[in-house]
Parts: sequence; structure tokens; C-alpha cells
Amino acid sequence: MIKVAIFASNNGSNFEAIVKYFKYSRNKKIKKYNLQFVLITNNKRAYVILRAKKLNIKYYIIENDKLDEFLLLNKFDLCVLAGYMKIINEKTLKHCVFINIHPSLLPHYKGIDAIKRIYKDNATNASGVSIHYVNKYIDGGEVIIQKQVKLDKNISYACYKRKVHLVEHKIYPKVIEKFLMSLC
Amino acid sequence: MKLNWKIIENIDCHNIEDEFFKIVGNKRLAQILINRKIDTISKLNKFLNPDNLFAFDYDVFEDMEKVLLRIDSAINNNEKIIIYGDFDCDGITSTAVLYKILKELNANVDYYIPNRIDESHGLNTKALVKLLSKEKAKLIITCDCASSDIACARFVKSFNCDLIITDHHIGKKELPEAYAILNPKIEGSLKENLSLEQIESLNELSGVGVVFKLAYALIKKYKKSQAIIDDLLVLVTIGTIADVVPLLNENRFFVKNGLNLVAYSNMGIKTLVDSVSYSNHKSLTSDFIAYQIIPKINAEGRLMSIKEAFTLLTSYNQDEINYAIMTLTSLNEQRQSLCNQMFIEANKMLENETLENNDAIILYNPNWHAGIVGIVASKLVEKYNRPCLLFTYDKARNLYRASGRSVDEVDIHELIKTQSEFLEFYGGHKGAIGCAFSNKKITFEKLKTNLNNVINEMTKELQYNKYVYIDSVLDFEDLTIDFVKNLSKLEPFGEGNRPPLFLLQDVVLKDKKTIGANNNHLKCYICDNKYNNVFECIFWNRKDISANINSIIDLVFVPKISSFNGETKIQLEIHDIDCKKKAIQDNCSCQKRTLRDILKTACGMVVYASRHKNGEVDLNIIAHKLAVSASFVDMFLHILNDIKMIEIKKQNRNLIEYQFLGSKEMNTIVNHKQFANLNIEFQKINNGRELETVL
Repeated sequence: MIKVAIFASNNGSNFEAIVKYFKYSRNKKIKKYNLQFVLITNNKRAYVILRAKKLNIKYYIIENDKLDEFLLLNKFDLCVLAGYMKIINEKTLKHCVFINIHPSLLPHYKGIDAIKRIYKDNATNASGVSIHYVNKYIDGGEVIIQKQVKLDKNISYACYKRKVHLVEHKIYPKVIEKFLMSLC
Repeated sequence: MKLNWKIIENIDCHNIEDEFFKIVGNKRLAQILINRKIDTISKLNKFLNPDNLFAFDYDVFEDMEKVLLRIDSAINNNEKIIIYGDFDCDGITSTAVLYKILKELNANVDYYIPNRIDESHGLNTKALVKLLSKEKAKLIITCDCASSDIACARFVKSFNCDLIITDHHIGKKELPEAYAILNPKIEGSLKENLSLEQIESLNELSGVGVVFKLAYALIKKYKKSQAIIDDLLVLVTIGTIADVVPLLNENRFFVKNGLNLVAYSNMGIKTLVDSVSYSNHKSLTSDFIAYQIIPKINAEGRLMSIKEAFTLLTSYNQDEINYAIMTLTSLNEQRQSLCNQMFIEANKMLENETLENNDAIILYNPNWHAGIVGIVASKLVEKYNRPCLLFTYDKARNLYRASGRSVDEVDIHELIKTQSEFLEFYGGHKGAIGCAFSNKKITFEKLKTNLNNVINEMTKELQYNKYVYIDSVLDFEDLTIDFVKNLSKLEPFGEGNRPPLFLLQDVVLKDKKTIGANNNHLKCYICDNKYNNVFECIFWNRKDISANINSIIDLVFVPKISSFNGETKIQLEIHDIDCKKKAIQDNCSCQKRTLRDILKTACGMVVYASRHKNGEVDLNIIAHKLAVSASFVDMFLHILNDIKMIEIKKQNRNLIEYQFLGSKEMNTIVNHKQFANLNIEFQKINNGRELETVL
């Protein structure tokens, strides 16, 4: 069995995209290994919990400072951060491989509100999505893949934001799939 | 038929502060508010005086600043602005709000509202080509539409025209590439620093509510007067009521204030209200607007393209307004007559249909008017309490088009979605949809079968139920003028804030009569069992009730204050009646006899005659005593013979001699093969008796 923990704090659209991708995947190799997802959230009111319930995925509400203990007891093959709004401390990072998604072409626009800052600054060179390994620095780990998103000041903020998210939903599951294939 | 009544359970109010009850002024009313989750003083104050809400917070959209700058530049450069609206009342009023303010700012502005019959909701390429090439539009602002129009938005962009979307409908996964989007239901459109309460309030806005945010931002930017705000607030009120959004939070503010402004601002609406002979502007209600004003504004769009309705809302010329009202009134009469005719036709068609299980009402008539099938579908849902889809034929596009409405138990949007592969288009929400199909893909009969199969699968093990939720059970003593006046604190009523319903039990029906031009309403009088406290009641659209005068009934109602000739009194507007109570007077003679009763008596007579008349009976005499026919008695005695309760020794015409053998269970008679014939004979006799009573 392959166990993957997905971390999310709020909406969880990436969480849903990942789970659905593998639910309908025809990748026989991964299916053979019985892939199992769990959701970890630090926010008991997060909408992502509703998504987990609908998708029949087990979820845990865990304070960030209890994470270390939880990951010691429960082993995962991969930890996926998908809109998890807390910093994982260095000690916890040692328990598993962590990957994260960030809505900019790193190293540009690290940190929160990247989409809005890029849109406001019309930073076309930074507009995109990066998936990277997690280290102790915020959005500072080694980049696995990047994809550019066209930024056009003449389209609405909501539309730009949605475009970035749709790219995230498309590439994140594929990166996870590639990683898991390497485990099989 | 009585509906299912549910008395709402009271929420514990022990922890509620005394101050709460003091402000409300009546304990029963306070309990109703608590049951409706208005359970703190702060919530109560916001509900009773919604003035200090967020209605005038306009800086709530991420794109608002961008929009203001773009409109400013369009005004300064005299660029052509087109407002692209929608043909329903929310769409027309939102278009009018934006048009009025942009005219006020001397913008080069025009509007376009698609035709309900030939076009559909939202942007369409044909109209856009005209607007972009002929009208040379440089900025298109949509009202109450376009959140899903991805291809059309791309088309507008390719003409170097900017598109600003204002809407309140949920978009698709992908969003249109518009210059800006003001739509609270689209993620990323609202600013991120808003409170949860404010987001909730913004999410309930109608299309016109969203447009008001933009209009108010423009008013502030260009420092325009209060008079234009008041004028626009009346339009917001009309659109908000028409779109049946919850009348809470900001919507409650708009409607509460807008109703008070009708007498002073917006010339068109004021004249229209006057024309319906409503003398007292002060007591205008949301119901009045919903039933008397909105249908007139909507009538034109249902039958043809919109012109006069828009003139009515935007003109400052009295003659123009009067002409618009005349046209709209006449169109509304036409619309009503078409609706009535279609409703009768649909009912006739239903007589030949067999509705099984939870089947929907799905009918097709190529001659029905596409603009009004939705209204008739609503009426059929109301009457039959089942989902309903009415199809008509669009000759211009060779398509079958339908409007559907549903009951609470069925999400009609989900239902129609299951057939999306056969549909040319579909859209709507849980309670109402519109769709079209071509018979090249599927036949009407096949689609009907498919839909009914899905619906029966969806509603397995459930029944369509229509509930009446009762807020409180009253005694006659509770029904005082002060109590009823106090209830008006909850107004304006509408979606999300329905008028409280009360129950009076065991009341005496004193009198009843039909009223109205077509005798289609019922007026009755009720009193308590001591014949005190008489109240006048009105039951709209009901010609009669099964209860007789002096019988005891339960009734569910909304109490209203009625003033006539200077006299103020309470009138109960009845929602439902339970007539299955015993009459006060002895009405035994009217009670229906059952066959079982007759058989019991007859068996008693057979035993009696065996003991006292040596088992000799005359069929005519027994028939007379039982008030049945001689052949009924004959048949009955032969059944008794067959089941060996008696043994017939001799029969000479009407005279029978028998020997009693022993008692038998009633079921032995019921199970006899001749019992069905006995029953038929009994029914014949009974029908005759009923006819005699009527005559």
C-alpha cells in the first residue's frame, strides 16, 4: 500500500483535483499498489473537510505543533502540501518527503498572496506555478517543475486566479503520480 | 385536501436576555424570531433596523477600482458603452439602474436586452456582432448575466472591446476572460478582507443588488445627489423582490427602504403603483409589488422584446410613462389569458396521462408560447405537487424548448443534467430550469421516459410532501389588534423571511360565501365554541371548503389588519383548513352508511326472525327497514345460505323460510364470491340516496 497525506487549510480545490485524478486514473501500476489518501488540516472549519467527506477520504484535524507526533505514529510515503497555511518545522520535515505547490515562478514572489501581488504588479515574468520540495525556508526548496501562466492585465483578477488554479489542478496530480511511480 | 402540518418546535429561550423581549414587545413574537435564529440583541437590532448594514459598502470587489477607472476613461473619451442586460425583471431593473447613473454622468451609453423567444439568457454572438460593428461599442457592461459565457467573452476581446461582467449567477469551472468581473458568487471576485457575515450577505444579492454596488461607487466618485440614490433604490427593491432572493441582510435593507421611497422617487414606478389604485403608499408591501407590479414589468419580455418596461423604469417624461403603463397593462392581460388557456389545456392533457409513482408532469404542445410555459409549469407544480416540464416547439431553430419547475424533493437541474448528451442547451438551478433538444438526437417520448426513469430512481422510497410550517398555536384571546400590528415589525416578507403562520384549533365555522368577480375566493366567519370572538377570514383562490356551517374546524392562517370605512379589524388570511372534525349539531342523518354497518344490522334481523318469526321473512319488509332493495336482501340471504349461517328451506317470490344454523365471522361474508355483487348493489342504492339528498 502507498500512503499519501495531503495537507490543506482552507478551500482544498487542489486536494479534490488530486484525489479525483487518481480515482479515475488508469495507471495500473499505481492501482496495483492500493493508493490511499488522507487529509490533514489545521482548520476545523475548513471547506476541504466537506470535500473529504464527499470523496470518502479519511481526515485528521491536527494542530501544527502536534504534527511531529502524528507523523511519527503514522508513516506516509509522501506528504503533499496543497494550500496548507502553516510552516512545517525542520524536525517534522525529516519524517517524510514533503512537496508543495506555489502560484508563482519561484524564486519570484515567495510567501502568501502571491497571485494577488503578481496581478497587482503586473509581474508577467513571475506569473506561473511551481512545485517544489519543502525545506526549512518558505517556498525555498528545490523546484521540481514550473509552468508559466499568461498574465494579461486586461482580464479580471478572478479570471487570472482561476487560470492559475486550473494549471495547479492539472500539473500537481501528474507530479505526484511521477513521484509515486518511482516508489513502485 | 389538508396539507401536512408541522408545528415548529420552540428553541429554548432561557438564556435570552430580558432586553430582547422588551425590544420585541411580545413574548410569542420573540419566540418566533428566536426560532428563526434571530436570537441576540445585535442580530435583532440589525433585523429590525437594517439601516446600518453593509448596503453602502461598495469597495468589496477586487476589480471595483479597475472598473471605475475604465468607466471614467470611457466617459472622458466619449467611448460607446453598451449595457447588456437580461429579459427578466431583475435583468431589466439592473440594466435600468446602470443606464440611469451612466446617463447622469453624461456617458455615451445605450442598452441591449435580448429577446426571450429568439435569443436566450446571456451574451450571444449575433447580438454582439451588431453591437460591436454597428454600434461600435468599446465597453460592454453586462447586468445579471454572462458569468458562463466564455466563448462570447473571447469574441468581445478579439474586437478590442472591454467586457465588464456584473452578475450573481454561479459560473463554470473556467471563467470568461472579461476585463473585470463583479460577481460575489465567483471565487476571487470579492476582496479577501471581508467578514464572513458580509460575504454571506453579498452572496444573497440579486443581479440588481450587485449593480447597485457599482452605481453607488460611481455616485460617490462623481459626488452625485441623494435623489438619484433614492430613485435607484426603488429599482433595486423591485428587482430584489422579483428575483426571490432571501429578504435578509442587505436585501432586507433595500426592500424595507425602497418600499418607503416609492411615493417620492422613480416616476415610472410611482405612476404604475398609482395606476393599480393603491391609495396608501405608506403601507406598500413586498406582496403587492410581487403580485401587482412585477408581472406588468415582466409581461412584455415574455411576449416580445423589451422596450416599454425599460422606458417605464428610466423615463422622466410623464406621457411616455403613461403610454408604457397602458401597453404593459394590456400585455399583462394578454399574458394572463394565455396562461389560463394553457393551464386548462395542460390539465386536459393530464386527464389522458397515467402518472405512476413519482413521475413528473412532462407535456408537449407545439403551440404553447415559450415566454409563459414557466409560469404555467409553476402553477402545475403547485396544483399537483410534482416536478413539471412543459415543452413547446421553436420553429425558427427547429428545437423543442422547455421550462421546468420542481418540488423541494427533486433537484430539477440535476435531473436534466443526466440527459445533457441529448440537449442542445440547459441551465437553471435546483427549482427551475430551461432546456432545449433537437429530435435528431432524441424523441420527446424517449426523453420523457428517460426523465421519469431517472426521477423515480432519484426519489426511491420517498414521497412528495408539501408541508405547512406553523410558527405558533394561538388562542382566540391572543388575536388582538396590538399583536397583529406588532407582527408587521417582521416585514417586508419574502423568501427567507416568510410571514408567520398561526394555528387556531376547534373553531366554529359560522358562515361562508364566495366573493370576487369570478366567485373564485371564499370569505368565511369563524368564532370560538362559546360563539364569541367572531373573525372574518379570507381564503384566496378557493371556491368552497368541505366543512358545513356550524361544524368545527382547525385553520392555519396569517393575521392581517384590514381598515375599511375608518374601522380597523383583524382579517385572517387562510392558508389551509382541516375540516375533518365532528359537527356541533347532530348530523347523524348525514353520515354515510357503510356496507359493513348494514350487514351487521341485517345479520341481527336474521337471528331475530329465526327466534321470533320461525325463520319466515318477507324480503320487501327487511329491505324497507334497512333502506335497501329487495334484491340486495335476497342476495344477502343466499350468501348466508352458502356460508351455512342459515339453511333456506323454501322460497316463494318474496317470502323466504329458513333455519338459523349458527353465527359466522363477518369476514366469511366479505370473502364470499358473491360479495362483490352485493357491494355493487349497495353502491347503486347509496348513490341514489345521495342524489335524492342533493335534489
